[in-house]
Amino acid sequence: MTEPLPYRGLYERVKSIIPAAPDALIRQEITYIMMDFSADTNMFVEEVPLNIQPNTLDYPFILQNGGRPNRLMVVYDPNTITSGYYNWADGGISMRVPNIIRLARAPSEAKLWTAVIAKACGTPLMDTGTPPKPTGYPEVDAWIIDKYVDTLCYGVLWALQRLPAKPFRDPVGAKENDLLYNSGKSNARVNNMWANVYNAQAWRFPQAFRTISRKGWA
Amino acid sequence: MAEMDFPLSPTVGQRYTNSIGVVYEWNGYAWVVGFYDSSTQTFLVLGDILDQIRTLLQDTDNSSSAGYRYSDDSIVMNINMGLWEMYRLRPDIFLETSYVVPQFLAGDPSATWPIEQQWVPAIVYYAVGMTQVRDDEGTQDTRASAFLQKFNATLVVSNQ
Repeated sequence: MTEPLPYRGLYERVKSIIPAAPDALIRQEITYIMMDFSADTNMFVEEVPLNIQPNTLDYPFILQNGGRPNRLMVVYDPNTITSGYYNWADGGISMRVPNIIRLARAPSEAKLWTAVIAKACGTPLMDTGTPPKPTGYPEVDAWIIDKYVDTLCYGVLWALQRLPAKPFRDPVGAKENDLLYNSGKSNARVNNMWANVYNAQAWRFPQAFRTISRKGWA
Repeated sequence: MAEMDFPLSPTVGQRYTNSIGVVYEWNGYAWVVGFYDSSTQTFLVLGDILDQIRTLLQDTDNSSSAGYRYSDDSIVMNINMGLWEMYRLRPDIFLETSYVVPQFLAGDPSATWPIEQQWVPAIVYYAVGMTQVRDDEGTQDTRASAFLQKFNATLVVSNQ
């Protein structure tokens, strides 16, 4: 099987380092690393329109572009963005149950807000055949793999090298790759928080000054 | 076995296959046995793997009335047992078959190898080892043991 494009380079790199790992195992570990990486970095996002209705607190939604809802980054009112920064449309909005946004206060009038959802990988990437079949990899934005292929590779190597009773088991290498992966993941999370802008503003208002229950996102 | 009928003026690299499928190759000085059968250079189906196992068992001559020393049934049984042993040691190899361990039938040599090609050598080692373990000649024991250890080493032994 030829690996699907966003993952081909990553797969080939891992396979060239650990050829004794079965292909299906590499695909499985890439999937779990993608789930972990996307969940921890808030990098895989989707904006969801929220049609706010009076006296309604719960707003179920369905993602359109793959992935599973992992974290509610912000709910903003597109009509009030003036500075380019997101501000919460209201305080206390939450998503304790994935796929359902809950308001803290029942609104008095209809509004159109936008929720920014950070997703975790989990939905299968399908091939282009008829009928489509799962490729063994999860859906994700291709740029994430392109930009962080090094970090993802360290993560997959760590996941493979720590497995017991395998010819490619390597506890020392696993430890080293674990450090590199977690360090790369931290950098990726911060890069994403600053929208990949170099030398961006590193200072924010102390949270004691906040006027709503949460700090803004990015 | 029919007489050998080597070509008279061979060129280097020229091959000759005798009546039982043994392939000889002219190296410029002599005919050397290089290949049992040209079809065994790939291992895509059960028949190819059986050929390779027979080569290592030195059981390639079925021209006599008795046929092969080891029957296809017995070797395929060992291949199937090897697959189960492989599953016990390395279940991850069978992830791509959803943990279903494939089993072969001796009457179906065209059955395709269902998992990654890199595991063919391990199965060959196992089948050769197990087949020789069953043999009642004491001289085979060391060789059988070596093949079975090679099977194990291929699957689980770490270089670290």
